[in-house]
Amino acid sequence: MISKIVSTFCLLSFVFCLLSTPAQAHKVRIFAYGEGNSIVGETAFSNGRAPKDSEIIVQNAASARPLLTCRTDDQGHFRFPIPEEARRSHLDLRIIINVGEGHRGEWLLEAEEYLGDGEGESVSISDQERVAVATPASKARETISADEELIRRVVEEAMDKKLGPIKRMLAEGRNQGPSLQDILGGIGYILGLAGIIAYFRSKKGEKK
Amino acid sequence: MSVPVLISGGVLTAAGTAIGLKKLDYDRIMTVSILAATFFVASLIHVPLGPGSVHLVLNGLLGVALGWASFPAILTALLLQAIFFQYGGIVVLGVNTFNMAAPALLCFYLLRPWLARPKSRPLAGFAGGFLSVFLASLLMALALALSDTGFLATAKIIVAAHLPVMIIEGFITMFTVSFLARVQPDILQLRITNVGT
Repeated sequence: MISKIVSTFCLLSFVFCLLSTPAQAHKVRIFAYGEGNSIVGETAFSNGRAPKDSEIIVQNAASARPLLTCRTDDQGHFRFPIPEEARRSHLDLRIIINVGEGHRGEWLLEAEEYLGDGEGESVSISDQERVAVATPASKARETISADEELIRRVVEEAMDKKLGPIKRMLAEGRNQGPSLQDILGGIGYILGLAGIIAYFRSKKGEKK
Repeated sequence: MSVPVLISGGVLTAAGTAIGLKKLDYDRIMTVSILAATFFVASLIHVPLGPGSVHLVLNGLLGVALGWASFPAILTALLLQAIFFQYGGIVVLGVNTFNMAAPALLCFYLLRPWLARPKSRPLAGFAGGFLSVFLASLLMALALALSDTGFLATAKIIVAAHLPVMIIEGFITMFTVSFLARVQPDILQLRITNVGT
């Protein structure tokens, strides 16, 4: 009878080990970066699954006032235009994903990270406009500065595209789940604490 | 979570932990720590389910085996998880501990008499695993509801999400309790209960 129970128990544990994935559902990963006039981002549970149709809240990081909300798509990606207010007053954005049940993840996107692009664009447009109405004498110089802006924009766009995956890798590396060392360390801590308590209790016992 | 919820969670946990430590016998320290380690590891075992995945809690097992000592055990395990893995976090530690330890304690008082009798032991084990997760999810819903959203809606979602966990834990607790009762009855303190202390 005992062996039956033991074997059932072992079997069950084995099944659970198979079912289990060494990841945490409770931590939601989120990261975002500026791309042109919008902010794009990705979210994922740490086991790689995507939180579908989850709420994304964008806050002013300083005042925690919500600026806008949107939802993730089937891949856990999201995209929203840079809020006009954030662009104007150079707000740092706190982007929060709320998957419910009190589980959320957040990402701080600083103003300079997403505004660099957008500002370059607005400057270059105004330059082009100025070029259009400029007098022939100053035209050459203006064109050069307009070209500079254009090049800067193109380079920045290309960099964003190339750096996107690297940013993602960094974000993923930073949010990795607990490793075996962490788990064993935790068990060690618990046993160690018990040892300390036992030691002090035993001293107390001696005094009595 | 709102500040009053956090504070009251912290106070209740502190009280529970104090009682738990006071009631803790010298010989039981190792048992408590082994079960705390079990609890610590159990939450890392994930079962993929629906859109996300759920993990084991095992607070029922701690409850029926430890009683009041569940408080310090769960507090320690959650604290280490918060430090090592950034689970939950230090701020919500009190609330989380109370949410899991209070149902564990309730199961201890409700189920001990049944657990002592070999005939009803498997049933009591299943009920322990099931009830403790059920009550914990209700408490969690309550804590969240007191902070923002309506209780009923939140409770429905959380309880539904944890229903599989309840069933799984029911079985795990049932097998573990039956197993321990045969092999290591000391861990469950069954004889002491039979005598009536």
